[in-house]
Amino acid sequence: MDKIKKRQDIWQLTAYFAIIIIIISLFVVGIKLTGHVVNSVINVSIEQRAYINFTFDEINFGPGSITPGNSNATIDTLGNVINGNWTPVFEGFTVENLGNVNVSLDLKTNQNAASFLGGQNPSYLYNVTNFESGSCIFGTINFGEWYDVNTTEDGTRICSIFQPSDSQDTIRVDVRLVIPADASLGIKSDIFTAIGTAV
Amino acid sequence: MLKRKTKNSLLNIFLLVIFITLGLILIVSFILLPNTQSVKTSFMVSEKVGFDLNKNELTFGSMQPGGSASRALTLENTFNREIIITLNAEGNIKDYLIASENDFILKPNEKKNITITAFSYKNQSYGNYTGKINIIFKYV
Repeated sequence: MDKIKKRQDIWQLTAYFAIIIIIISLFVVGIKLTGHVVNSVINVSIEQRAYINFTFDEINFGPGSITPGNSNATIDTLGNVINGNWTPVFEGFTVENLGNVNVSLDLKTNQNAASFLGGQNPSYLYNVTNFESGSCIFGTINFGEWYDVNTTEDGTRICSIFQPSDSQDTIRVDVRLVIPADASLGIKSDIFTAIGTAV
Repeated sequence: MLKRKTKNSLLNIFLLVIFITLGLILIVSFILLPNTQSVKTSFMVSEKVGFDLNKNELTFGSMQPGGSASRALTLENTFNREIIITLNAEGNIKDYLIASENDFILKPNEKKNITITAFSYKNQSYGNYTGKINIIFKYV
């Protein structure tokens, strides 16, 4: 009698154990089906920095040449064309903070004046202004002043606090080229990189 | 009495089979089948260049047609075994993403930065491109 009871107890125990296993298995299968991982074995973190590349030929000056008798011509995205016959361009790049955190902003290019234009005494410059007043509240360069482009890895810090608020979140970057008469011929194109880091 | 005993035995065999089967499913699920974590991702193609440094999603902000944007993901294996990680993407963004590395092994406690680049073509239409990046991992 005891032997039978003992045997029944073992099977009962096995049954309970099986039920527990069923529940756990269904739970695991549920995780697999929903893709919902409860016990993650990897941590995923997203760096709060972005590099955005934009191409300088987006500001399209089109074909043009230096007026004969001049050693260079100057063109910029503020509509100035001096000693040349390029079509005036009035649009620079606008850079916006679309997120909801303050961002520091650095700017770099792939090429400098010599590699981009060639010839004697070329200039490849940019200036930064607030497209919406107060967008950059801690500028680290003088806004509205022309600076040589920077090809170093980190670029030039142009703004320490670039705000995200809707009416104050856009700056403008203008470009100026001083093209020497002996500049290399052909279509010119360069890549600007804006580096935004959450602060 | 004999009928009841037979019935009990059949029930016991049935439970035993279920127990063994599900036990195996459990083992296979945990050890062999991959797990997945997902990160939402998006970018916009427009005339503007724009940042969106959301820390919960891999948002690339806005780029001009022909432009690109990069952000990094840091992956850390907190488990005590080597795992192999594979990345893939879903949604209308999937054809515009490149990972700096894929199908790699992470040792226990090892961290790795993976740069994800979103790009657009010169003739790409303005609009929003969204989806998710799946991080699939399983034991080596």
